[in-house]
Amino acid sequence: VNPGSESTVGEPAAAQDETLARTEAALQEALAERNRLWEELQQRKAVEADLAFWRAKAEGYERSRWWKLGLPLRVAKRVLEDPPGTLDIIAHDLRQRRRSR
Amino acid sequence: VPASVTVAIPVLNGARYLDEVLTMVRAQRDVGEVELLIVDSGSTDGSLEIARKHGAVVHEIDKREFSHGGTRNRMVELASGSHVAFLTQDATPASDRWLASLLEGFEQADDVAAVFGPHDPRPDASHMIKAEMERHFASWGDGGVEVDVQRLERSAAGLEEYRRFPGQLTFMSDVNCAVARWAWERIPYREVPYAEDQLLGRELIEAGLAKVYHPGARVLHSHDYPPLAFLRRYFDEFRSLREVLGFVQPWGPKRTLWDVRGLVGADRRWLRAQGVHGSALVPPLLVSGRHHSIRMAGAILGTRADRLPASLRKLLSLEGRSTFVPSDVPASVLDGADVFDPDWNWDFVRAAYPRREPLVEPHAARPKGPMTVAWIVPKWSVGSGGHTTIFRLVRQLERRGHSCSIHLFDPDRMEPRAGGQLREEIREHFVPVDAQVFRDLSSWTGADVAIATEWRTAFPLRDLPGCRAKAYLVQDDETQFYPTSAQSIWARESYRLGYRAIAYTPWMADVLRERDGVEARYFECGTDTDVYTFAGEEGRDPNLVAVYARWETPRRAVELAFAGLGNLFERRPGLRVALFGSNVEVQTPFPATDLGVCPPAELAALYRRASVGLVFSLTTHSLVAHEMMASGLPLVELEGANVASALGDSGELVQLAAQAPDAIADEVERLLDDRAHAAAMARRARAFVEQRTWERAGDQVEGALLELLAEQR
Repeated sequence: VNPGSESTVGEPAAAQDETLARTEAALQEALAERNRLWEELQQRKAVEADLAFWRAKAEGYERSRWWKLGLPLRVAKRVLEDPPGTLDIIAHDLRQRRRSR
Repeated sequence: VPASVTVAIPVLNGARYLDEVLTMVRAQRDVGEVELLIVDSGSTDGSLEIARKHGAVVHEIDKREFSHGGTRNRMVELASGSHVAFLTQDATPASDRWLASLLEGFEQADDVAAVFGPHDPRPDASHMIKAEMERHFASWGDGGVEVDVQRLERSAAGLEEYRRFPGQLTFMSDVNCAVARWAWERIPYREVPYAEDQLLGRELIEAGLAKVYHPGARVLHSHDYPPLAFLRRYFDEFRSLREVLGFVQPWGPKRTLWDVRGLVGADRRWLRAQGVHGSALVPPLLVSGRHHSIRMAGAILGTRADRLPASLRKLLSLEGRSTFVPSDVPASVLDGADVFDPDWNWDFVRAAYPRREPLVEPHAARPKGPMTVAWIVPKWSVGSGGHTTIFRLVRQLERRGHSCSIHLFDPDRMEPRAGGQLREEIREHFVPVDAQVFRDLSSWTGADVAIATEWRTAFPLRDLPGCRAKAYLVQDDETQFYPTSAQSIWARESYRLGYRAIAYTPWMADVLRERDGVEARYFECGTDTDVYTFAGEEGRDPNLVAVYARWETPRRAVELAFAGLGNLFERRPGLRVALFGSNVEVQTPFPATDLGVCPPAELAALYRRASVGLVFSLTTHSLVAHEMMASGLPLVELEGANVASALGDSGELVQLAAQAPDAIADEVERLLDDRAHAAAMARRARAFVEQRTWERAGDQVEGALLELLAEQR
């Protein structure tokens, strides 16, 4: 092997460059994929946080005195609008309660 | 195992179980020498002889001297042990490892002040008592079977949990417990007539000490009474709980019935577990219903004994006591009074001390490539220039392939909206970012780089986990936002938290470097030249001056602008002024049209119509000035290093005025009168702004962030 010859210096250097480029491209791809997963995680976290926010808000409404006072009116409205549907809902509630016991 | 331990028992006519109790105490093993101490308050049933038979040290006191807390303090004084285990005269250790288990509890940690164990019902106890005791002691140690070390967590969440279920931490029963002498010396029993053990438990926990539940330290102990006696006993117990701890049993027809129903249901489950089924359940459940109703009545009446006449109190009391005397006990975290409120708006500053470096994960130098970037931002309102810059930079990074998230930090808890709503507002009124928006920091997952964007946000960011680098985007010298105050100190402190800064303008970077010793890079704002298109002289109203009048922001020096315009009005009665930038009504000393906060398109139209713009900022260089320059609107600004750093001090790009009303009037008038000069200046200003694009600002910030990540930490 002649270390100074073109064939021994030029070819491996080109191969090295190619390997480097491939590694660099793979790295960039891996980083892009990692970012995509991170974005997915953020999206999921954001949905969960919003869900918890609105759930707490709904619970707050349901705990309020005005909501409780309005219950007979809401039931009456529901009965008038959809009597069979109301019966279905009551039956479903009773079943749920029995199950939770 | 400690060198010595004392078992202390207060006695009054306890012969029924005392021999059995002392026999078991003497049978304890693995504990070395045990001192047995009895304080008798006038027994006449042979209890003293039983105590002496078991080699107890006996002290006799007058019955009137007895109090549950005071007598137990006396017993610790008399005891020689470094730990004192308390029993009552009817609590029999269930095994010969009872005392060793109590002492084992103290070995769980150095700060364990007290240890308690479960009570097993005696075989003849009713099913209600058996079920209730089993349920009660299953609250600790994973169903009552593990050693459980209890401490009060002083975070907001910990305190909230404690307020909701205080008994989970405070419960102590000196029917069966042990206290360490060192802890008792610090916090002795209070001399209260009853509930002294509950009060001690509360005080130990709130003092930051630990308490241990040990399942091996069992005793046999239960009471059963006929129904009426139970009512009177519960009346006494709950009256004392009210007197000492202020406890009030909640009640209401529906609620109380529901509570009784729940307790009966629990008894039913217990009976079923014991093999009682079908119709055999009916008689015991009827008894349960009666018992729990009586108990609830005793609790409701007892905790409202102050409202009952003395004669009725005496009638209801098993002790025959007619009094109601609230005890003077120390304030508790539970009262919410005299204690620190962890929800205090500024607690994030308090929590930041002692000083420490920002928490970052050690990492190798990171190669260039897409980053994840989390931005912590303060609350905003539509039109906020600082937030416009932040969201534009977010968008710029997104366009370069980086992923961003935006987290609101709102210590005043003024933001009523969900993250999704905030995101919509940013997209609609600022910039259409892709980033998810969070209304607080609770969903934090970390990122390659996290960026504080205002002095308050720098405090919570410091300890947030999962980041390789943390930076501080400084758009303004916020120390100047406040008069000399805690806030001005804290704003300055935010520059000393150890962040590396990315400052808006080279001037701000210099200030941070020279004044605060901060490692600072800089970026220069871009301008949206598509919206703020250039207009020449044609179509401009020759007497219209557009004034940025966000007067609620003192650093905008709006009153100084008004003073200058006041001078000008005296010289030019036909002058017309259009104010913008604030939705808060402002009183002007001259006629003016207030346009409020306007969307960019309307602002651009105003800038193309007016002949002179007036926008001041004492602490940085305003983005509004850039937008006016982009629109070809000749501009007057105040002289100062902040403006000179951004635009130079030659006056070629804007008309610079000294900080005086007459100087301001002169410069505005010069621009109004010399339109050729104004037009030439406007053309130069537009050319200047065209070089400073958002893309360039994005490049600068991206470059700074990549530099931070490229350094190995």
